[in-house]
Amino acid sequence: MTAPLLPPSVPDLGGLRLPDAAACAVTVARLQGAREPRVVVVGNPNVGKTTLINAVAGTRLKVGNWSGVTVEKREAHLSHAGRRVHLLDLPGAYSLSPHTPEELIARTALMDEAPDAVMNVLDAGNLERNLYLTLQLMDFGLPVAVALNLVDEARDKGLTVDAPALSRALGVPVIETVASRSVGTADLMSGVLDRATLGVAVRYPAAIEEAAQDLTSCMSGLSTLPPHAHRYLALALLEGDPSVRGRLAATGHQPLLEAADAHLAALEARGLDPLIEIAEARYARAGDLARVAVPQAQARRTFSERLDRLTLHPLLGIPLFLGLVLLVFRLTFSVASPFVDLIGGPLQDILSGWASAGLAWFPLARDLVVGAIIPGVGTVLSFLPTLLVLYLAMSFLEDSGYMARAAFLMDRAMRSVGLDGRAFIPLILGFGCNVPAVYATRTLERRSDRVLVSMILPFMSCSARLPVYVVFAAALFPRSGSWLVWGLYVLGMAVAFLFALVLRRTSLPAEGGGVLLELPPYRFPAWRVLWKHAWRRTASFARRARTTVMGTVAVVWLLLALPAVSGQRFATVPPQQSLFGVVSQAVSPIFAPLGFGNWQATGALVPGFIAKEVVVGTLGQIYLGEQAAAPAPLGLVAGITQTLGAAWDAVKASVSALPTVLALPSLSAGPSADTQTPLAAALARAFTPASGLAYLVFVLLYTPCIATVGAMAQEHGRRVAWVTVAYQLATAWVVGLIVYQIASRVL
Amino acid sequence: MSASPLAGILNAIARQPRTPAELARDLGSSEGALSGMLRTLQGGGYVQEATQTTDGCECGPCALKSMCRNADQDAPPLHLLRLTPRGEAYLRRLLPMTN
Repeated sequence: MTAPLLPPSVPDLGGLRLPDAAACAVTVARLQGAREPRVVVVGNPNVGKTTLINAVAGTRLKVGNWSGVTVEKREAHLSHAGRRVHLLDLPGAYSLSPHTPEELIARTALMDEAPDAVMNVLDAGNLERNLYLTLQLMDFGLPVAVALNLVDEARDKGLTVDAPALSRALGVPVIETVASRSVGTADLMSGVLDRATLGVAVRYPAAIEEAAQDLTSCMSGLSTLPPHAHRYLALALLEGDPSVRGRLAATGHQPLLEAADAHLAALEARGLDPLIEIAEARYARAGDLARVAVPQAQARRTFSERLDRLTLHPLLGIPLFLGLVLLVFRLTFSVASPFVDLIGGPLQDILSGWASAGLAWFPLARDLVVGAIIPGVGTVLSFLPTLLVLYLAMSFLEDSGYMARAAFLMDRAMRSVGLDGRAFIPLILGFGCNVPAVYATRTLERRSDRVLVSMILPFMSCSARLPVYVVFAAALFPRSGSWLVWGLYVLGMAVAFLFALVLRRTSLPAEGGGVLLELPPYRFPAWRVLWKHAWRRTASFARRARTTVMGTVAVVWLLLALPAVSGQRFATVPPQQSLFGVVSQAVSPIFAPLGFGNWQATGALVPGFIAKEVVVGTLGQIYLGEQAAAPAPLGLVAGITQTLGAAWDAVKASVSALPTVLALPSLSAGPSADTQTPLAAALARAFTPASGLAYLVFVLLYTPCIATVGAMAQEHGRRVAWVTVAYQLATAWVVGLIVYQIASRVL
Repeated sequence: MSASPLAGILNAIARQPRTPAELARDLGSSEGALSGMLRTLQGGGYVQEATQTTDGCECGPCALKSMCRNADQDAPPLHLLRLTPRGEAYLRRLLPMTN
């Protein structure tokens, strides 16, 4: 059967009929006259090509490898309606501009395997993307027939493809198939053997067409280049395709390459980028064809897309994000507080008693352990339950796909203050630890962006600051602790954004640069994975308590034991007369306007420069160290029994606190005053709510830890590092003062 | 669909952070087609993955490295594309023509 070579009603989509009708007739006649026509099967990956081949060829399919590579080669010799056919399945390829070995093999086969026809398999549900390859095939002078596969799945998505309309627009037969059920496969083979023809190619911009035609004419006398591939090769040369250039160079076609270079230079001089121009023309036509084939092209939105309409909403997105973060903090406080009280209270007392009894003969070691290590390191460790719950909740948000949306929202907000769109990576890392965040600024190309982001990212509250917030919240704001911590995080971000705005307007102007962020679909996270993530993070915090915190606590203990004046003995000096106490006292007047001008509070800030969680360890050491010798040792059994009993009480308290997570702010989310840890009780006596709030704001904003400063010096030079230290100290003092002055009148 | 979808993508990336779904909608295209276009742009050297280029030393001095989601993953957690200097140059050349 002979079909019309050029269908009568091709919609005018700007296509080009190539080559002329006479040449077309010769090519098609060759297919129809061939004794065993060779048909290559081409398509994007995952369009059901293998299933289709299996359905057509069945057991006659032979599987081997393409020469020199491990890419699978499938072919079959079969009969259809009394005619022999050699079917050759090419590897899945998104395009013939080779980015992968599979694409290179597909293109090489189209050029060199002398196919008589092409069976192009399309996914009916993803037509626009698949048609890009189809349009590249049209640039080859080969007869094409299209298998419109997966039409059943497309219908399930709400897409109905008008195959006749697509056939008219492409100028080649289009046959609907459902390969998995062998639907349409016989028609497909008939379509390929009887009706495959040269389709309507893309009409590229005039300057490109002229250059391509000139190069094609240069090739006409070259017997070493397959005639059906001349136009494709000309276009590939104009696209600057390195593999085509390499092939032509290796086969002695230097004059052709020189002609191509001359055309490229001329096009560039006219302000044209041939690679973009050619791809633009193909995608624009693919889009037009898709609309012809699927006029109602409106697939149903997925669950993720529907949810994203809310979570990424320009107005609602940010409040929703802040609300979720607040919920996380409320959950953290409600569930973890009883366990914090357990570790910071009874457990610490029992351990102190045992250590005191065990080290009775070594007074100095006993003082170090009972007076420094247990209250210092123990206080930091008592926040492990808080961190575990927080990390579980954050991992849930991350693994569910929501955190990617939060990053996107933040990115948008940052762009509004002139920050590079990529800045959100280091800034988000800053919530974990500022040190890797400083190194992550390398993502940004411009130094001004790197410096700016590094200078503001220490305002992102790293997790090491959380224990300080939690202990003060428990001491001074037991009924609104989660709101307080949430407020501190928001304040940190607000200050960072404010400084970004100021620095952009003054010394570090914006230079553009954006991103396209691929968002993962929402999913329900696996509990095992959540636990693994949360446990790893919590264990890391515990390791740090064992190293950095313990080391700093030992140094502070030494400084607290060293007398500042002569006549006093080591380790018996009152704390305020120790070297630590005297130096802290000398500095403390600076903080008097902020409401915490006492030596204990001031002194605890200094080791915080080593690591922020040391602030709470030092506070524990100072306030609890003197009382730590008191607990009487319990027997082993009694100690374990008491611990287990207290742990059971904590579990019950934790479960009963769960309903308060969703409660309004006036309801308790933190511990009540009568269940405070000894440190919280000591802080409640030493600070007023206003001075405590100012202290927390100062801890949030003051100088980054020494590792962060070191990273900044390494990345941006010492000047930037010290300027950051100085301006953050000044910022912390000023904001702390403002907060104290306002809070002391309100609270 | 825009007559110049690739230029539209480059322009969109340069101006405002987007998700592929949003961008495809703005272009009057599908996400599948958009991913093909991005692949073309990536292959041509106009856009590239904005992965962390920290040379593996980002966790060196940090004892909290396991808190960082990027530290324990081979693949970046977010698939992020940005313009290359070639993409930016193309856009600069294009803008005087469109303005």
